Amino acid sequence: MSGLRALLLDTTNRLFEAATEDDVFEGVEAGRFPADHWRAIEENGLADVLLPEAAGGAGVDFGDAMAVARAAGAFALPLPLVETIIGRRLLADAGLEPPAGPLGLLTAAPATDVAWPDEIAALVVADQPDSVGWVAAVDVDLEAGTSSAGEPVGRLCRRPAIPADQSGRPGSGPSASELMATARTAMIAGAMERILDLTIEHVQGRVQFGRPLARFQAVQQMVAVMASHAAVVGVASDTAIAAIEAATEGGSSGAGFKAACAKARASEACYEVTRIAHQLHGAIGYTREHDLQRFTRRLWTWRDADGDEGYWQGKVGSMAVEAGGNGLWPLLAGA
Amino acid sequence: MKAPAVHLRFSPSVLPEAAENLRSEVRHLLEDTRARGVWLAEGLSWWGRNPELSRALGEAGFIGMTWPGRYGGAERSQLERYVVTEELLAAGAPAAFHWFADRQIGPSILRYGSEAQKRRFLPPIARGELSFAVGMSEPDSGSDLASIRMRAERVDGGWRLNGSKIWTSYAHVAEYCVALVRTEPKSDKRHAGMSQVIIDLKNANGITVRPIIDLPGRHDFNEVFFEDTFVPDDYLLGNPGDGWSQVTSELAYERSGPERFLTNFHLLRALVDALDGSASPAAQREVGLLVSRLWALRAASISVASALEAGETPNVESALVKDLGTNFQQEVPEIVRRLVAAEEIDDRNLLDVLRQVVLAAPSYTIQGGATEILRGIVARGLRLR
Repeated sequence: MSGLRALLLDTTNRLFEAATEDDVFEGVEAGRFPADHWRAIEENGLADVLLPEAAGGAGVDFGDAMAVARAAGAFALPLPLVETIIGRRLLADAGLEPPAGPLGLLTAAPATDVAWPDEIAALVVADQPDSVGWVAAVDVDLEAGTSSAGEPVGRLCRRPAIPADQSGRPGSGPSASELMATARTAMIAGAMERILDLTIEHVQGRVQFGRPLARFQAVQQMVAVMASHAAVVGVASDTAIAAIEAATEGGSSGAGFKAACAKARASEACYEVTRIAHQLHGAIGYTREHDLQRFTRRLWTWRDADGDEGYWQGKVGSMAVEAGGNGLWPLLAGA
Repeated sequence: MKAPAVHLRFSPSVLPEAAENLRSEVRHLLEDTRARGVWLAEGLSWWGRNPELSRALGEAGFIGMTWPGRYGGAERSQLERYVVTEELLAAGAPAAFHWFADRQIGPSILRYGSEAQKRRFLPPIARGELSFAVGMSEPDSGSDLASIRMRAERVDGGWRLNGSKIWTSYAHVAEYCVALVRTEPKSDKRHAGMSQVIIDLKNANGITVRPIIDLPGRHDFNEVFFEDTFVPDDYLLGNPGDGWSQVTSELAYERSGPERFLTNFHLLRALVDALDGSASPAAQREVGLLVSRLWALRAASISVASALEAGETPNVESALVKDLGTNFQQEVPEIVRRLVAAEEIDDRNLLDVLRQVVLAAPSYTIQGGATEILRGIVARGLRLR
């Protein structure tokens, strides 16, 4: 890890730890936005990590920003930070001044529920290949609801019209949906890392029939399966991130294929990871008293967000079918 | 809540330029030999055995390619070897003639063998002229390998072998076998007293080979009986008593390689061919499910290969890749079956490959470490046992 990333993660972990205290989640479940924590995060520059230095950003690379996304998953951060990070970058790339405050983001992936519809400043609209822009939140028609994670969400009723002076041409890099798929995969990977940690702690500490659950072979095998899925999602996430990074630097392409594969794999793995985690935690894991649900409930939201596994599998499959039998291996091997 | 402890993490890795550059060379050789009728894809993938193709690969420097030049190697990296291996698998090329010697026997000889053994065996292996079988399991010792009973007793000038080995693929045609045997009686130390011996299958005395026909109806497996078989002193591999650590040290290579998820790539390829550029949205999703899983497994496998190249011993990670990879491979034919029905695909080639793969699929999660054993290794890595 670079020194810069270690420093960034230090700040990130400190801020996220504070932003995920029990009382914050109690408030979130009651629909209260943790505005002071958002402010602290914004003031420390985390929402701007992907902005070029000239635009007031930290000048860190995409991988560093995605380490923040992974941490957001590992802490179950109940704030629209990742959408804001990507949204601000998309606007900056289009030569637009990003509005202050949290953002919602609309990409070409099937319309995702917008987190915190009453708190966001604007909706970034990046669902078309040739234009990107933003609309003030007051001008967006959102139908109120709640996510499985208990956060307020808004479903977009109709695509908003973008004022001409808030619209521009997107940068040449990866598309908004590929960036968000990659970022969401990193969040899923982080949450899975946490769920594995919680599960190991639980099976080592919980004693039944006179011995810790971890001593039962059936339990060991289930944890191994969960760990395998979590680890593979982790490397899928890192590999997609590296591909996006290379594409942003004008390097080899294939980033679209890799981002699609990564989100498909991550969303798909949410079922096995949450199923095993809850099975091994037993009844206590099925309560709001236990921390496990902060992470499993978010996985159930995030696997659908920014395109569920079916959507991305369809993308991957259409690329594979188009490549044909002879082109299939070169597509996978990237050469 | 603090940041979570990280229990298992694959470092993302990309194959170096030098390795990527080899791809076109391997593809060219495979296309050329195929066009000349040296081999044809038979639905067996690498389990097929074709001495002529192995010789061509040896001549091109693609066998023993990481070994020193003085033993016939090409002094290339593990990652370059990785690329060659996956290109062979992706093409469905029959590679069993040299596979075991290239993957594990050769590296063991290189690491533990005497100078004379290295000079004698490695160059012909690298030329694709010498085929080895692996003698590990016994009739009463499958997953519990440490319970083997085959004995090697000290006699004048060498060792006398008694016992049997089973599931010894291609023992009926291979020139040599490397077997794990007991050179000391069983003791409280489960893993002590074992050694590896090289056996000349064509010339040694007292060897009987019984064929075992597998589910697809092929004769790869054998049970091999040894009755007072004599092997000379200089056919003991490594130090007497070190057999267990010698065989386990190569497991990461055996388990994390691309054969753990590309063995039936030819089925996926045949499916995509049969779809012929057009598929319903549902079919595209099924294809995408398989391809995205394969892609993620490959990323994990490349990470393990890079760790191996860096001198690490990622045994937990490689057990994990083998578990997920072989389970994936078992699902491939089931998903293809669904698609064949749903899309009403009538493609002779696809259906032939599918039938063979269904018959071969149960072996994936048994050979080279059964699923339950692998998950036990992962659980130990997570400190649950």
